[in-house]
Amino acid sequence: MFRYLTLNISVELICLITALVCLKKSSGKAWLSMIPFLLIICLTEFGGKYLKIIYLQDPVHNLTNSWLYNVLLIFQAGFISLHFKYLIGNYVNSKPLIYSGLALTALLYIYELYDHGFYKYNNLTNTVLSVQFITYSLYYYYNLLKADSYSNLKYSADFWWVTGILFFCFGTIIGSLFYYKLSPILISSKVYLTTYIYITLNIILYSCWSYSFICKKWQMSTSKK
Amino acid sequence: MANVDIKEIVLIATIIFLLAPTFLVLYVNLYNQRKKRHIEEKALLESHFQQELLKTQVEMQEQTLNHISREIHDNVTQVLSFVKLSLAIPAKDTREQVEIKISESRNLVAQVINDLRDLSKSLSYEHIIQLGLVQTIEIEAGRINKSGIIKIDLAIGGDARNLGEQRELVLFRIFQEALNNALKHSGAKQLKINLDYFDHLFNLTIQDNGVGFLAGKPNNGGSGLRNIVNRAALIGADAVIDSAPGKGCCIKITIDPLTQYTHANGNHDSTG
Repeated sequence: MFRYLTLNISVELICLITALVCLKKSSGKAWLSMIPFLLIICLTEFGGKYLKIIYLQDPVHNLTNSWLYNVLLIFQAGFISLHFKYLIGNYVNSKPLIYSGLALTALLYIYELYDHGFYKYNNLTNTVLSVQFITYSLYYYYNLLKADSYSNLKYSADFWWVTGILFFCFGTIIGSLFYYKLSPILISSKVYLTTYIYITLNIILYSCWSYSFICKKWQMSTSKK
Repeated sequence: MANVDIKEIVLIATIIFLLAPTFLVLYVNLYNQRKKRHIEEKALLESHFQQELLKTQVEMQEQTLNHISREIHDNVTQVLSFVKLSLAIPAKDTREQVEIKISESRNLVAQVINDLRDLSKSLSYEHIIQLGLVQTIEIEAGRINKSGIIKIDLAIGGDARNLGEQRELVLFRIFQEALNNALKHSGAKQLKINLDYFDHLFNLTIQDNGVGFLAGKPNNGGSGLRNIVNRAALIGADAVIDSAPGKGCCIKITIDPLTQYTHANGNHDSTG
């Protein structure tokens, strides 16, 4: 059991538990949708780890668990885009932007599946999705700056959720840009630098999200009073 | 050599990775600065609004006091003086003559009591809150019509509803200002007042048939008309003043009652 509990999975599980504890019906559908999304992420990570162990025992066929992450990509695009639709929708009509982004993602996804099949990871879709999320984050920041109402950013659930995504996607894109230069660098005998980078990005993302769920709980309890 | 390359790449990558936190720190800083400025500006506007509201109340009180003073001087004092003289009954008057004089005096005293009762209903801030804009304007129009100085035609369109205490107070002050202008400067014989209540719109139109003026000229209209425009803006309303020499003057105030105007929503405690 413990062989499945990697640092990544632990962080994701902590985030899921925080979401389960902090998010209630009154938080709204957009926030509640984070619970099934995080559950899907955790299940995918467990499945990915399990497949990796299985496939490593069969070096002849050189199989990878990328297809599972291709499935996860669909949920990532859906859940995160819809959450952005809700967040940006607090300021402007976000539907045209989000639905166009989703359409582009769908096209790229189908193209990549057609191009290299289901068993190779859809890198292009992932990179374009990251660019989209960075754009949404910056657009959200712009609207937040323009808005008349003042919120204390330190305790703003929306702000920390977007910040987590921005850090993660920005890091992912930089990591992809330098991948071929960074990937050969070994930190210890078995672990590559890129592994550390991706673990750090995951920790930043899920820490920000966990904190944003806690902020949401605070918001709900203060608004009830 | 390879080690140097790797170090350079790691350094560059680290610097680029640091861009995001740097951006975030700068953004939060900018956000806090802008919001601080925004809050200060809002507080300034709020205080400006409260000052203007207070000024409006003081002006209304002044106008009410002038009106009361005029009524007492021109009407009540005159009638009571007449009653006093009338009741100084000479000894030679017959019983019949005395009864007539007493009866006349009783009628005059009754008239004075009525006038004083009307005067007590004079137009003050409390009356606008109690009676509402429509009834207050109706009373004022009735008073002016009774005096015969000018003829006021009042028309109410749609279902009259409360527009909010502060808005109604400012609207009534605008009406008073327009009325004053018409009485003092226009030489108008007739004043048409329309209050139109639509679902999402309220119009107050005040039109006189006086001498008019060139509305486009900056010095025309004086501070009274400037006050009307400024006060309308204060409650989120638009004021359009249309006039031409010989064609009278039309002042139209348009307001969307559903618009939540930042400084016109709170309840005003001070009664001045």
